[in-house]
Amino acid sequence: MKAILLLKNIGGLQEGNYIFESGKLNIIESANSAGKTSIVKALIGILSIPRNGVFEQRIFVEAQKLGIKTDPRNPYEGFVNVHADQGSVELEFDGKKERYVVKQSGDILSAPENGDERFLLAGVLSNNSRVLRQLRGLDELEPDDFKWAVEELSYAKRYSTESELLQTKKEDLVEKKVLIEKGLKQLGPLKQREVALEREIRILDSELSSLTNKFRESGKIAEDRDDSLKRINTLKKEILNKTREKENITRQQLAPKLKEIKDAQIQKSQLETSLEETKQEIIAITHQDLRKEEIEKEINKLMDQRSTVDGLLNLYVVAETSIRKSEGDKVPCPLCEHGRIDYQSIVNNITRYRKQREELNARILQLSQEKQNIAIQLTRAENKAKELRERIAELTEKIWMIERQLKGPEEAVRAIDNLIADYNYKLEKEQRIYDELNRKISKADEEVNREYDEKSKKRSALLEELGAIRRDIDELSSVEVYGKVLQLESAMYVCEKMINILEDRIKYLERRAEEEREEATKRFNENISTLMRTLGFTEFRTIKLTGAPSYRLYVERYDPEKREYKTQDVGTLSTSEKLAIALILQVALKETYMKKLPFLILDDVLEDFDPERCDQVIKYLKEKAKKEGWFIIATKLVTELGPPKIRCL
Amino acid sequence: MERLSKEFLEKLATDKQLSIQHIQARIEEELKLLAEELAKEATK
Repeated sequence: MKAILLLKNIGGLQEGNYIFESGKLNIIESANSAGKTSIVKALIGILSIPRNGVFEQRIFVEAQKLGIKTDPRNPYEGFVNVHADQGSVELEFDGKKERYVVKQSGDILSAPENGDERFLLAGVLSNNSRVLRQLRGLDELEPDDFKWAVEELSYAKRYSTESELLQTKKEDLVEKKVLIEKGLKQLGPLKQREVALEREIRILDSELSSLTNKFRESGKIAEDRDDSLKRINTLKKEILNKTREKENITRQQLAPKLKEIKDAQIQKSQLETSLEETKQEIIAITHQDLRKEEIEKEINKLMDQRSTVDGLLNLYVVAETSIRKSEGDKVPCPLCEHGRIDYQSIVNNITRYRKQREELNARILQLSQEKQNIAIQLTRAENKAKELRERIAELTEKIWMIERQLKGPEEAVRAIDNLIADYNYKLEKEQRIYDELNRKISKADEEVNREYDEKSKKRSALLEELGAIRRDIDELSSVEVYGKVLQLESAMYVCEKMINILEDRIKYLERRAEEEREEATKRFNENISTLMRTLGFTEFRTIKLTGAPSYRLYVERYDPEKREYKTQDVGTLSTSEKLAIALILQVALKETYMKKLPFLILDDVLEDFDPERCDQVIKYLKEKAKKEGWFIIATKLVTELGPPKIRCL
Repeated sequence: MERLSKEFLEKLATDKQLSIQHIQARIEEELKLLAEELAKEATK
């Protein structure tokens, strides 16, 4: 059977195609840095990367040591070629084809189907593999501490892991059970307290109800007070309405009439004043009657004088006519008739009497006019007085009429005033009632309120406590067991049952782990004995693991001087002996734990054996490969330059 | 079927394709089912 390995950008190689044969020792030969280790890396990688691509932490360290997980501190020794973005490996054997593609960053694009991470521990022997590191004292573990081999390569670890997991679950359940027990203990007193609180609250409710009734009593007074207030408001409204009504009457009816009366009275007063003046004037004119008489007397006197003058004048006119008729110089004096008077004297007398007459006429006329004027003035004054009296009488009539018209509205206003006064009286009375009721309510409410508040507060506190207790009861009454909320009793049943089952399974798994360890140890020791015989390790009588719990590797070495075998510490063996024991251990591990995976890789190991032992090892490996049908792959340093070559032995 | 049986645990331990996380998840699930069955029993 052949195994075909294709690789691209792995380690120092950009590309390669290699064929290995089963049942043979396949030796990869090349000079230094020509790609031997890159081929080995590719093989280890594709055989060990798990299907999900994730190593467990303890194995991840091994993967880094063997170069299939790049150590960020040394990218030039990384799995993917440092110049490429990604690397790929393909391995075809036994009709199966595995593929592994990984990016430079370590992200896996394609993982093999049947990779087994244990191959890193059991299938590879190199200067960086676990076995050799440990034997050489380069590992954290003591050189002889091989517990990991039985634990990690057998199923013991997995049984133990399951057992530990169940142990944790059991502990969780035990903890839960304790809580349930505690809850059950607490629940009783809490429920008692709940009942007591409920009773107390009921009593308080009853007391509060009584107080509410008292509130109702004071509420009756409050109703009366409210009624009183309503009445007060009604009265105020009535008063307001009446006041408005009064204002309307006053404004629309009284005020215009009153103004009219006032105007008429002013007018009347003015007329009366005028009348008084006129009366005074009449009196004054009447007083002028004396003057009138005087004027009449004077006129009479003047008329007498004028008659006299007229007489004299006639005499002289006659005399003048006589003279002219007689054409004499003189005529008898018409007055004295015994004297004689000349014409000129007559003419002069005529002129003088005429003048006197004119003066008398003028004076008479003047006096007559004066007399007439007085009469006119009197008449006028009397007419005016008459007119004034008439107008005054009219106004008096008018005022009387208006006063009569005012009587209606005035009576209405008086009625309204009376009504308002009545309302005001009632209002004051109602206000007193209201104040009294208010005072009573305040006093009653104050007392009831205080008591009500106290009881309410107490009730609130009790309710709060009850709420808290009920929450506690709720919290304690049920418990969640694996996502299911159960009553305490059920939860207790489930927990106890589960704890019993888990205890049983834990015991079983621990026993199975132990059996597995014993079996693994037994198989390992059997294999190692066979190997020792085959490889001719005569200097050691025994190389084997002790049993539980330490699984230490011990060797018994022959002491030629004392001619006896004695136990020797693995760490004190020579380098060559350590390498030999490492090979025996590695093959035994492979034989014991990974027999079905037909690959065993030895990198940079053969050169370290002395030539005689190397020949023995090669011979053994060839026979082992042939017997088991394995692909045993080893590297060998050669001086010939060029790409790596595979030599099958 | 018995829950969290020995066979079930054996199968988990010897299936090398199952990681520890897988085993953990399967056991969790099984415990849940076991708890459910027992809860039913308890409330009968």
